[in-house]
Amino acid sequence: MLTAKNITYQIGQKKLLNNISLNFQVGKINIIIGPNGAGKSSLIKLLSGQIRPNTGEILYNQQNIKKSSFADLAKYRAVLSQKIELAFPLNVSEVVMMGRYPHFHSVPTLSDKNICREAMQYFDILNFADRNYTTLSGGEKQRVHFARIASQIWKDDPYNTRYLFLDEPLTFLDIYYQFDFMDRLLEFTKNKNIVVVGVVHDLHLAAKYADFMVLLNDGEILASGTKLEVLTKGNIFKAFQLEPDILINNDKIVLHF
Amino acid sequence: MNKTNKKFITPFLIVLFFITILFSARYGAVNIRLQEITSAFQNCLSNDSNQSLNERIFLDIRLPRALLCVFVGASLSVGGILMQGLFRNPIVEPGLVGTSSGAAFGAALYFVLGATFKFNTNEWTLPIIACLGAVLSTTLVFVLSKSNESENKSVVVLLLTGIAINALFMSGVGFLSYIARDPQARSITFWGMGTLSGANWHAVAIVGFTCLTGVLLSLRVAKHLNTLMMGEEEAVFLGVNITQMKWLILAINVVMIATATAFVGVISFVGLIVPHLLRLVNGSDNRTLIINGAIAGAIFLCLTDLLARLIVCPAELPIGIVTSLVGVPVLIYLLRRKKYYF
Repeated sequence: MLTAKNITYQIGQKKLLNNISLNFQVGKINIIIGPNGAGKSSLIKLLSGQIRPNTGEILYNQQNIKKSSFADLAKYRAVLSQKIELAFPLNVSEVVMMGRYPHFHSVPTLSDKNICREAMQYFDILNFADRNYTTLSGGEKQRVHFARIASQIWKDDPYNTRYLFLDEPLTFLDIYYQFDFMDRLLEFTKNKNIVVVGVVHDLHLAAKYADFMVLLNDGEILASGTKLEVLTKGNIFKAFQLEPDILINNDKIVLHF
Repeated sequence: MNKTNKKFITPFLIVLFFITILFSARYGAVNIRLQEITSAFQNCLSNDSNQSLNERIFLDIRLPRALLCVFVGASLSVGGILMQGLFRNPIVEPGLVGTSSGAAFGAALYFVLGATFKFNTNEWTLPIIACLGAVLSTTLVFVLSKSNESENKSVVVLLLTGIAINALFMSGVGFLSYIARDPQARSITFWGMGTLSGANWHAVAIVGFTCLTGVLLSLRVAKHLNTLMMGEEEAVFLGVNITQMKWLILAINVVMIATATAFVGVISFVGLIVPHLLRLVNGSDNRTLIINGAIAGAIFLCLTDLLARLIVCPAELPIGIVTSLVGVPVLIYLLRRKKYYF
């Protein structure tokens, strides 16, 4: 379980996040939504341990992440960002292998190589494993990073929870890849000891996949809970100044702006 | 280039490396026969002082010179790979953080003041002053570029500060050349183009030590340097302590470049051209690039030094002229190749 306890984050005088407390459970797709500048990216950076909160603490299974080094954290925590460019040309397989870097010293073991191959197979990139990353299309590039991130936290372990953070990874993908990725993500995390927290811009996508949802606005939690609890007319109006029609059909929710 | 071919790069370079050393030691103003080389080694081992002139030339001049080429070339090339990786920029040279211009300033100071005040100097004075100059300029760059800004910006600040300090020290060199008398001004100019004619076994030992230490330490950060290709954030996600790694890389580079430059002067272009040439066949994976870059840099400098000695034999050209003469066409060719991506 991932717990944020009363975290506040500010740069200079400006409070980007104010007194946030949240719990994220294993086995659920947790999605953070909110307007631009609400503090979504800062929250992901704090939760993933990239930056430290000014006050409050972040706990991975009751353990404060302040106590873990970057190197340790990288063994069970992975972050997928949007639009990563390489400064120099590298083969796809080497980019995926970077996901295993936290696990070996200088030479990858056989198991590292096998994991990379499985991850590449899983994300359908094995057929261009030897191609130069810089020549790939945007969708192909992002699949390479899905595979890299997956290989970083590939091994399921019932005693050690793994943490996966998604920082708007779907922003530059077309609609096919957006759904394709979410489906693969669901399958990858199903019945595994893994906490998934993602920032998603598209409310429809969030509505389709979220088990638990957090709506951030102006550095504070406007609402959290199931999608039915969060995606109400009132909440959406407060955050986005838009009043959509909301159609609810069993478990499905459709927003019409 | 496919995987099986890549496995042969290192062995191929090693073979080429030994051939180059042999050539570099054999040819020059005097050509030494293979037989004389073997007998020189035998005499050396049996402590026989009855050596022929050619054997003495080989042991006291050619061999230390070839080995100095090896270590200086390797230092420059690996320094270039480190700096390009750290700044995520393919046009960066190892001297970027002020190191070589500081050394040039130290050397210019030595030439001008030494002639004016007639210090007691020996063979160590010039390297020591040059090294002090390099340390001074580099420290200045580091101190001035230290800021409270985010880590992302700090690399750009470091780069720009490096360019500024380089300009400052080069103007210092320009001023010293301006007030210097003709022979001193010529010494300053020559030193700024590099020469290995001062090679001796002391220099080989010192440059060899810093070079080997530097390359071994670089291999330890090679993996981390790979992750940096994706940017500092991604490197952190993969467990890299960016601040620690950055200072380690800068320290390795400065020590290697300052030591090499102190003994042989400023040699341009090697740190730029060799890494790029190698990336074409080797790819950009720093784990293999560093080790192959060290060998390739050694080969490149040995060959250019050989050329510098042969073109105007029995005199010799400053090596900086030859490295640029060879390097520029190769770089232009690389840039025009469509296969080369940035």
